[in-house]
Amino acid sequence: MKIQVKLYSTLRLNLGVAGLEIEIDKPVTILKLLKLASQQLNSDIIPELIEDGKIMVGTILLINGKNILHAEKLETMINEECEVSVFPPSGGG
Amino acid sequence: MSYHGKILRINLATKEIKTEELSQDLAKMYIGGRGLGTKIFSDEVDPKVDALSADNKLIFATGALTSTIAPTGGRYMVITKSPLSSTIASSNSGGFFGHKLKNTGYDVLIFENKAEKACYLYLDDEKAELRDASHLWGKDSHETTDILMEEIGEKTAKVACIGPSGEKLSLISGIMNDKNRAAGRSGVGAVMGSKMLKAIIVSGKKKTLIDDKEAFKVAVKEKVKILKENGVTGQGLPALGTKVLDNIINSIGAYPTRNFQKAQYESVDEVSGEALVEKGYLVKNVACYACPIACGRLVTLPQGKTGEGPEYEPGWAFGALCEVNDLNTISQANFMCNELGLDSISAGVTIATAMELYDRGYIKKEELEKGPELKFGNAEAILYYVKKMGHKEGIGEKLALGSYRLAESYGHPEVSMTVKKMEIPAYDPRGIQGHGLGYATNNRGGCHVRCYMISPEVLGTPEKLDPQEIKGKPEWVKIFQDLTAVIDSSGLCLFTSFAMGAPDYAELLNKATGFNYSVNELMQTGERIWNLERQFNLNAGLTAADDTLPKRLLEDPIPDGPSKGHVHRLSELLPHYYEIRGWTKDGIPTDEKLSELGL
Ligand code: SF4
Repeated sequence: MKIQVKLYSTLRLNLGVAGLEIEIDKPVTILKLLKLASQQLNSDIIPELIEDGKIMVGTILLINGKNILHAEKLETMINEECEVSVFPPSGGG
Repeated sequence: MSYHGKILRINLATKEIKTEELSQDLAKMYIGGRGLGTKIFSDEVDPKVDALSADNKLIFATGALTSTIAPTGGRYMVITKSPLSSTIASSNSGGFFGHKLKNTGYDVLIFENKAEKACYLYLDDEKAELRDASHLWGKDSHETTDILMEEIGEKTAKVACIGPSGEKLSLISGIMNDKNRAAGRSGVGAVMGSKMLKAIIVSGKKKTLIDDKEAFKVAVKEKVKILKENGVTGQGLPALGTKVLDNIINSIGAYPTRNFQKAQYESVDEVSGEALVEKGYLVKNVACYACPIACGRLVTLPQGKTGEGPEYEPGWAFGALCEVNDLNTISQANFMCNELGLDSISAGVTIATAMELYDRGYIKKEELEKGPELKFGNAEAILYYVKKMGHKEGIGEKLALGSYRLAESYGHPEVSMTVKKMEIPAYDPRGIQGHGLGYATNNRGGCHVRCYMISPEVLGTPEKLDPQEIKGKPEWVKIFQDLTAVIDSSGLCLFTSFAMGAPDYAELLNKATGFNYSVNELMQTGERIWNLERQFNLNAGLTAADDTLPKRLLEDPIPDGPSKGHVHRLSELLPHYYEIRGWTKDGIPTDEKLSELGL
């Protein structure tokens, strides 16, 4: 399956990449997906998002627009083609 | 302490200026800024007053922490009756004006009556003078500021003024300070214009005294550390400013598009905060007085024009809401609003309303007098009609009255996305239930900064709530409304609340004022302010029927994206909200509640 990963805010600006496509052949957790994304990007994005195994305050991880904090958090399974949006801690308006 | 204990009362008709004492008891009960200003205002002005008549008053109030070293402690509030919403108006602004205003040695200014000829107030720590402003009348906010600064010749002086839109009594005009900062909402610029008061220039060196200076310093240091270490206030806001939200709100499907007919914008990547950086428009961050966050953006456009912003809300209003995907034009529209003294949120929403009216054939082509077509997506139109609106020319006469009156004049108020006749900002309530309840019950109408439920419902601070859940939301809304009243009254920026909580504000206030609020007392003070505003609105003639949202948001499900199928569930939320507020089912504070709050 093809997973579209979209990067935003400082991740997009610092890496100079707006997104990437990850091909997986079996369901993975979102944490695993972020690791795959880091490999593909050649840059570890996990420390920007997760601290001591926990999603940092202000980090937003969405699967098709739904926040994983209301699903199984970092253990949320990705088992079909979808779009994953990745925001490091962000501001408000 | 941390107050000068002085109020300046200026009668614009008789030119009499006098100093009065500020009661410390009143200061303790209402903190300062929004709370204290509203108390003074509602004691002196009949809630039924015509907002643009001489009987309305215009108050500028600094907070208990304004002009201290507390992080973001530079803000002031404008309190009056709104000509737009007929509610209490209190508009907050940052920059450096509030700090300098307090340096004059006054905590509060009260303008009464109406001047016969255009005038401005010069105020420093030794003198207060009303001076002729006929040479400034008709000038935009930048020109006015430059002329006054040159005339006064004091480099550290600061100016607040109205632009042409305030002079012409546009109901969506604001008061501009430091050129690009705005006490923008509720039409406070029109009240200033109706009084023929063009500007206020402040200068002075009076320091704000602190009750326990050493302890205050320690507390400030700790709060600055909290702000720096927080992901939102330490990284997100400094990096992208408020415009980081374009992609966030769009991704969850709550980014109002095409005048709230859609909730996702396909061209968001063209107009987002990231785009502002990628396109090379962003020059640097700018900060208000004593602010370690620095969310402001200094922007230079390819054609060489420099200015501030756009912030998330105005950028969205001229962008997605009008389906305009040209960031350069959107930024120009925002600059123009600052110069004309227009509320850039209301201006953008009003143009989107006009676009829908045109799209549906209610506004006819002939009425545009050869101006560009008011079609969604027409970038040229937003610049053209902002100008018309600011100068009240042609169809600009109607646009200057705001979205509701515009739509109503064509017999279609349902096209107007407003609460209590004020334009709703950039978050679709159908996708974020608590935030929608905040809009419906807001004491000044469609506004996001009295109860920023986006924090918990989207950003996850202080904890993440499901935006579609309704259980527990009225309780959260009440806490956010009461806490925001405290922050606004303290003279701090709402953005500190991404990282700071009630105990932090209590600590800063206690060390500065010596009042010794417990956290509960402080939250009750916020509740007192909220109820005082509510009482004013009820006495002005508003009722529970005004605590609502546009029909579209209550009845038409979001057609696309992650929030597809949802409407706002106000009828399920509102009764419980009234109940926990201690109000009757008609939304009236009970006698018991009022006496509990000392009202
Ligand atoms: S966070 Fe932004 S708006 Fe608030 S005081 Fe700082 S610079 Fe001004």
